[in-house]
Amino acid sequence: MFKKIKYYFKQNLILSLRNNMIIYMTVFPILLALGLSFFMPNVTEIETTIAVDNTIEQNKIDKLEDYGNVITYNNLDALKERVNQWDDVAGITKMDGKYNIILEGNEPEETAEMSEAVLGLILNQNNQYSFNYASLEKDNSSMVELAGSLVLLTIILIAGLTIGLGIIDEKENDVINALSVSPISLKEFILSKSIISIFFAVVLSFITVFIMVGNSVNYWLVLIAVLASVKIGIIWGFLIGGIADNLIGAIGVIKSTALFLIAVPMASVYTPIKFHWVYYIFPNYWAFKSYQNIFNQNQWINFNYASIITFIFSLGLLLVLTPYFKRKLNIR
Amino acid sequence: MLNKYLNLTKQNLTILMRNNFHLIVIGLAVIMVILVNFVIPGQVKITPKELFFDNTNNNIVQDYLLKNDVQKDRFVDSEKKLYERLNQNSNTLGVIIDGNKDNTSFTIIGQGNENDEAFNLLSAAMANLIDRIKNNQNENINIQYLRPQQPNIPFNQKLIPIIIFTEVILLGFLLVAVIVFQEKEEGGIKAFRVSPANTIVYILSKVSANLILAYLYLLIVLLFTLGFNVNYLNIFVLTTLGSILMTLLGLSISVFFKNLEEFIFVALIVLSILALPMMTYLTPSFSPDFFRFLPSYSVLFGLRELLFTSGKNSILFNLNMLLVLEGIGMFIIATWSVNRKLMKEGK
Repeated sequence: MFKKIKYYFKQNLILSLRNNMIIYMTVFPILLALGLSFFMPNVTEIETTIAVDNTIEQNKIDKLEDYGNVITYNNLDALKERVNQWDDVAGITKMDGKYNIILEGNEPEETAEMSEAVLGLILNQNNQYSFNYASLEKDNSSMVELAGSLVLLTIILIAGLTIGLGIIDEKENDVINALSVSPISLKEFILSKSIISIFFAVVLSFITVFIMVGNSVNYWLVLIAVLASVKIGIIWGFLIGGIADNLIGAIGVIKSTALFLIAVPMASVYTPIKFHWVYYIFPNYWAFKSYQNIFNQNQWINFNYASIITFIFSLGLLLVLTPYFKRKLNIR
Repeated sequence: MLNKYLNLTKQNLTILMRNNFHLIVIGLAVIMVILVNFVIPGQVKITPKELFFDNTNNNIVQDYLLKNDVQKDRFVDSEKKLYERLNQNSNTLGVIIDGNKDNTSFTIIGQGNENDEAFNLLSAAMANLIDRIKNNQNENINIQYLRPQQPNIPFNQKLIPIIIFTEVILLGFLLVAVIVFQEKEEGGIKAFRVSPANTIVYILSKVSANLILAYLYLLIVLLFTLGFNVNYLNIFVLTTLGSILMTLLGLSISVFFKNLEEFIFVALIVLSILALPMMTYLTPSFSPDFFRFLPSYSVLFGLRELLFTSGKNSILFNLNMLLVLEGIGMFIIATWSVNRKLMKEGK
């Protein structure tokens, strides 16, 4: 059995090298991690943009800078032009001794409220409020938790995608037909295809997590989470290869399934915990929970439980779908 | 020439329909309609959510906010519970309010990564809240709207431009490449080379096939979410121009690759970059210059303007003109690329 797996593994490796697949599947997650690392400092330190014109006193501008990025325009027309742009930036000008907050009219209520609040606090010299600040001193922000988890999810999906596209290639070149009359079993076929993907998923997850957060996480958890969840990508790959007979069909399957794979975990981030039961039927939700625990261990479910559920759920799904793969790929 | 164009478009559509793309598009559109109408709530806070422990006499802040439709689950009844909730969700900030309305103190608790500006903004918002409770409005501040004020867009409807943008605009980029690679595999390109049709017809037929699927999706999504409350003609103009631009971009890049396996990763990178303006769309005060130069930025916000009109007619006209110019430029590049890589290959 191991001999056969080794033989088909070698063949898959040669095919992946010939198609430059290995280069692309390595480069993409690394670029994604680099890109996110580049934007993350900006995102976690989101600054509200405030536009003012030359009627606003310098001491007020200095105070406004405590609340966001202040851009000064030479006159009211230029200020109005800035407010009129696509995004929701409020403008401030002074007319007849009063401060005017200029808005387009389509901004969310908070834009007006926030501008009014900031200006109110700056102008009110005699306020009787006192403010104290405290911090939980977490290492990773919610944005790092989200972006890091998203990159890990992308890696296992890319691992699956390469399997799926590889099978399509074999279908188009009649390799699958040849395999159906060879002594290889479906179990051996799945294993030989999965080894490269698992190896690359583990290596790439280490590299990308390191790029994003350095030494601030436990890499054993990264290893366990990826090993527990990589089957989700593998199942996806075999679904793509099983259902589709050609490249267009493959893109069709990818189009219809990728939405659930990415959108379900993303949506769960913004859903109150009491409604999370809606997501329990999705293995990718549990995988995402496991990833989130790597970056911030204060989730409603801990790392161990999330990883065990992911592992059992995806293994069960693989077993349930095996007869289907057998039928579609015609491998014994 | 018209006949050749129609035949080629039909041929492209046949390839797509043979692979059930029309059903996939209809299925995805129906799912989106269900999500928008029944699943995604109208009120969602994407920016950090504030949780409150109101320790003032008579719970003045809690009472005021509850009367103003702030959700009940934003309040806790002890400092311990506040810290528990903050620990559970990294996308939250905590506020402890002490004292009374004439002498209020606030303790703002962050997760550890917020900048000073975020704390200052929340401080200002809290001070403003007490001022409103006391009916202490600053008479030196006016709000001036450049156009009539629009009602707030519910979150589920706010996602419709993104739903249209990702499928109608961005996926034209990928779909055209798929047709090209399939034709390469099946030998369709070789047959085309010896046919009397020219490159322009070849490109236009690809663009048209994509547009037909895009319209199908667009119509289902719009009809069953916003109904007849939108200007379909203007939306069709913008989505047509946006889709053409992305299709031509996809065609221009894809012809330089051997197969879809190679191209798909490059496509993912390009699509990820083009999708970046969605971050600004969901958090409009976050607007890096780099995002604003991407063509997808103005198309996404243009869609928002068309679906939830605020009166930016001149900007929309300029946007359409810009897309026409970009489309012409991209058409020239696509023609050159197709001629160089597809029509001459193997000759």
